[in-house]
Formats: sequence, C-alpha cells, structure tokens
Amino acid sequence: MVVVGHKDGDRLCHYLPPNPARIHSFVYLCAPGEVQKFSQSLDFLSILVNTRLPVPADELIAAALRRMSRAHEDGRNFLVAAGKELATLLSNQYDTLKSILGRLK
Amino acid sequence: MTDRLGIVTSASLDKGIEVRLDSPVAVEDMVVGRYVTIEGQKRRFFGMITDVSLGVTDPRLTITPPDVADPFIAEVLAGTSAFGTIHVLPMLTIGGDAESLLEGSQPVKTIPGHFRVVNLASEQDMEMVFGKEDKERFWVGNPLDMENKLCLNLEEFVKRSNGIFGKSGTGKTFLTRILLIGMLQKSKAVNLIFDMHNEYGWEGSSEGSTAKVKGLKQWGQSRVAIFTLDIENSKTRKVPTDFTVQIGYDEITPEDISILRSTLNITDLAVEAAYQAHRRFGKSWIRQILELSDEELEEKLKGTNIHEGSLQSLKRGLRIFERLSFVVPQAPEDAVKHILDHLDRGVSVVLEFGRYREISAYMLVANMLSRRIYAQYQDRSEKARANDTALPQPLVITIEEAHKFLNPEVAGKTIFGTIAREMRKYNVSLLVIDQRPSGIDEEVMSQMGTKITCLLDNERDIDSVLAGVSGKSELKSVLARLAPKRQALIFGHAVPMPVAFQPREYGSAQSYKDFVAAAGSATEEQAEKDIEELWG
Repeated sequence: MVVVGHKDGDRLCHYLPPNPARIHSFVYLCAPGEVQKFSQSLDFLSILVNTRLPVPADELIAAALRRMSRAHEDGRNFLVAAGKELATLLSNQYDTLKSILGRLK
Repeated sequence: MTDRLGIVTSASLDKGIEVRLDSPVAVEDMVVGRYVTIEGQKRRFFGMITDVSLGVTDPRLTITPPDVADPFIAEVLAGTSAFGTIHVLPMLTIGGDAESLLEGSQPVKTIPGHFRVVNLASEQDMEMVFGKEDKERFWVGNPLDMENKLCLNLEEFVKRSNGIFGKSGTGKTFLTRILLIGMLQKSKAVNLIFDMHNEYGWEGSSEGSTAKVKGLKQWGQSRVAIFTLDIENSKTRKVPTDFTVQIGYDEITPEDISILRSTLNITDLAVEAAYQAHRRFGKSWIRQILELSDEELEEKLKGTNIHEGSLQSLKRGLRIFERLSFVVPQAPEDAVKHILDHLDRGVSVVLEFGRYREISAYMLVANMLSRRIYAQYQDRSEKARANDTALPQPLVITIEEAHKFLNPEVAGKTIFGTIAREMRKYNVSLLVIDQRPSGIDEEVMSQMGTKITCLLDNERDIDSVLAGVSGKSELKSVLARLAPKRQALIFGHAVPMPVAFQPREYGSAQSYKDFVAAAGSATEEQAEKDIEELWG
C-alpha cells in the first residue's frame, strides 16, 4: 500500500502525514464521495510518480486514475486534467508519460 | 472580459518578450501584428506580437511524435508537453495610477517581471493608444486585422513636415487625399497642393475602375480654390477653376534654372552663364536671351566670360518655356499674390497642372511659387514675433515626386530643402509624396515628423524610410509583408508607436457619409463650445 494523503481535522492533505499510520489500524475502502473530494487536487500524483514500487508505476498510476475517474461525473475531463498534470511532472520522461496516457483510455 | 493568452517566461528590452501560451489558446489565433497587454506589477505594457513558434518540453517528442489521432492524447499534450510561444515586442507602457493615465502612454523603458499575465489588448487599451475620433483627431484607417480606429491628431501632424511613400499603385494618392480632407476638416492649417496629375482638386480617378472619386473642392466649396496652369484642360474635364496661373519670364530667376539643370540637360557652365546674364540684363534676362539673335547677344554680353557653348546650352534649355504656354513674357496678374490672398482667408489652394505633367514644369512652378510664398511667410512670422501678434496660419505644402526636389544634389538649392529643415519656425511644413525615398536627401528625411509608407520592395528605399527608427528589423519585415494595395505603415511624431494599418475606405457613398458625419460632429462640438464661451 502507498499512502498518498491524509486528513488533518477536516482538511484533506495531498502529502504524507508527519507520522506513519499506526500499526494495527483498520483499513477501509474510500467511499466514491471521498475519492471525488480527494481527487479535486492532483498533487498526490507527484508521490506516485516518485515512489519506488514493486509494481510498474505507470500501470499503477493509470489504474488509480481510471478508478478515480469513475467517481467523477465527467470522467474524461478528470482524466484530461490528470494527464496534463502528469505531462508537467514527467516533462523529461516522455516514454513513461506516453505509456500512462496510453493506459488511461 | 480579458482574453488571457499566457505568461511571460523570459524578456529583454532589446530582444523582446517570450510568452508561453496557455493550453486553451490556439496557436493559430496568434497573428503577427496583433496587440497584447502585459499586466506588470506597477504598470501595464502594450506590445505587438512579432513572432509565433512551437515548443516541446522533451526533444524526444519531436523524434517520436505521439499518436495525435487519439483526441485524448492530443488534448493532454496540447499546452503541456507541446506548447505555443509568442514573441512580443514591448512598445509602450500605460501607467497604473490616475496621473499617468492622464499623461497617456509612454515609450517602453523596462520589462515586466517573470510570469506576468499577458492578455489580448482590449477595446479600451486600443482606444487609449490609437485615439478616438473627436474634433481634433481624424480617423485615417484601422490597424491591420482590427476593428479599432487609428486616429491621428492632425494639429500635431501638421506641426512638422511629413512624408507619404510607397511604390506606384500602392494607394499613396488615396491616402494623401484622405489626409488632406482630414486637414481641411480638423486642423487650422491651410494647404497648398501642387497637383501634378489633377487628382486632388475637383475629382480623382480610382485605379482599376472608371468611377471618379470626390476631390477636395467637393468637400469644402468655400474653403478650397482650384488654380490651374492649363485652363483648356480644366474646361475639358469640366473642373470649376478659380484662377488661371501664368508666369512671366521676369519672375524666373537663375536659381530656378539651377535646380532644373539635370532635367533640362544643361551644363554647369550654362547655369553659371544664367547668373551672369541675370546680372547684366536684370529681370528681362530670359526674354533677351530668347529674343535676341546670337550676334546681338554676343554684343551685349561682351565683357562677361560666358563661353559661346554655355550660352547655346542655356538657350536650348530656356527654349522649354516656349513650349510651356503658361510661361508668358509678361504675366497679366501676380499668381503669388492671388495664392496668398486665398491662403490668408483660410482657403486652401490646389494648383492643377493640366497637360503639363513633365517634371521640369512641375519643378519650376512648385519651387518658384513656394519660394516666394515662403519668403512672405518668413517675413510675416518675423514681424509677428517682433510685434507679439498672431503668427500666420499654418501652411502645408504638398509636393509629389519629391525625390526630384529633395535629392542630395538640389536639396540645398530648392526652397523645399529649406522648408523641410527649418520646419516650423515660420509655420510652413511639407507633405512629401514620393515613390523613391532613397533618392531624397538623408538630412531632409531625418527631419520628417511622421512617415507613412505603403509597400516598398527596393532594399534601399526601405532602408532610407526606416532609417533611425527603433525596432527597424521588425518593422522591415512588417513593411515587406504589406499587401500591395491599401495597407500602410505609419510611424513617427503623430503616433505613439509604429502601426501597420489599412487606410479607411474612400469613394463609396457610405465612406462619404462617414466623412460628413465626422465633420458634422466637429462643427457641432465647436458650435456648442462657442455657445458655452459666449454665455459663460
């Protein structure tokens, strides 16, 4: 599991919390409303792009975004915005960008 | 609504400003020559797009282009990895506070900071820079690809000598006519027009059609008089004339002959002979030379060192006056006095040349009359200054084929060289119309206040028109890209920055209505002002 954000009181933060999640905490799936709210900002993408993962990052990012897009009314618009954010983050990794974009359709 | 285009990414006062376009802005909408504003921290900048280009963040994008058939990928990449940039040449700054708003726009002396927002210039910005049609400003045309009007303050315009240039057939005459009507309607200056091709007085022709367009007289019956050198021709063309100009032999001086030297094809020694003959015979010198036989002449000129060959050369040159029927041994009336009488009453004078379209006739008459009129103006201005009375009404003399008068060889000798240089001291300025600006003396060119140029394609002509203007290389490319007709570039004293524009339409019923409306509002405003002044 990769942590991409946390909630500080009522505030959603798209970066890592000061402490890791406590051990033995319960894990829940996010409700679509929460996903939609969280994905208003795309800042979390930089964490995904920069984390070393045991799975290919492009596959993971594409899958996460596809899933998030379902929580949005206009899924395509969300994907375009996310794609643009990725294009900025991966401005010198054109091949990664291309493969993620190819998987977003 | 502001039309945001993008943000400043790099800038230099010398080289211009790079602007990265926002993703929704289509590169193809960015046309060279469009005006933009940049919101600086303390002031706003007004500039012109001079180049448009495409950029990518990763060069690999150009080597293996993405699959743009997929609209999703195309949409994502547009504006992010692949983006448009424009190059903006900053021209003016518009101050942010009220005080500087009153002062109007100033030439640019600094650049905006990083990432300042760039917008398309709004209507208000354009109006602030290019002016609004009112009682002083005259609508001459529209900046290229734009709805806004380009308005000139003609009071300012006539304060200096100005030039209109362009290849033959590019619309110089139409442009000049529009400006002359503007001066008639909106400035206090009177005009004296040496109309070589009979285009300005009663009616003019329009290239490519048989339709006639209205001349000046049809705009202001009481404020324009048509003088002619060729009454027969004027009658044939059914032009109502006010006076027929005739010039007596005794009015021609050796100086007049000296500027005609190359057109009459006479030698320098022959010109020298003219001076000597003038000294010997006085005012009747031409008459004596033309009427006396060779022997008699030789007898009378004994004691001078005029060579026989020079005298013959001079005589041959002077024979031209026998062909020009407006040159008579004794003029019945003084043409200069008549012209001055009209000018004094605020009536502009158009002098038609009828069939005498040869350059020697034009140069002789234009130079001779102008010299004497200028002398009168000089005299009056000096008296007015000494007695602290009002200076004479500003006079604008319009001449065509100016390179013949103002070329380096004769510019020093003709009165026009003097007028162009001494400018406004005596309230006389020139409106020079020419197709070979490279032929005009550099010193004269440099003294011109405002220059308007239609298409020019000779390198030397372009260089001479643009000499000394900042941003010359950019303007050069604008000038070279003007359409062959009805497009012009104006720069100098009367405009805040160089503008490529399309002169307003002239010749259709609607265009005439616009002119009447403009004149109407000016007189109405004047009437209102008069009433206000009268009743306090």
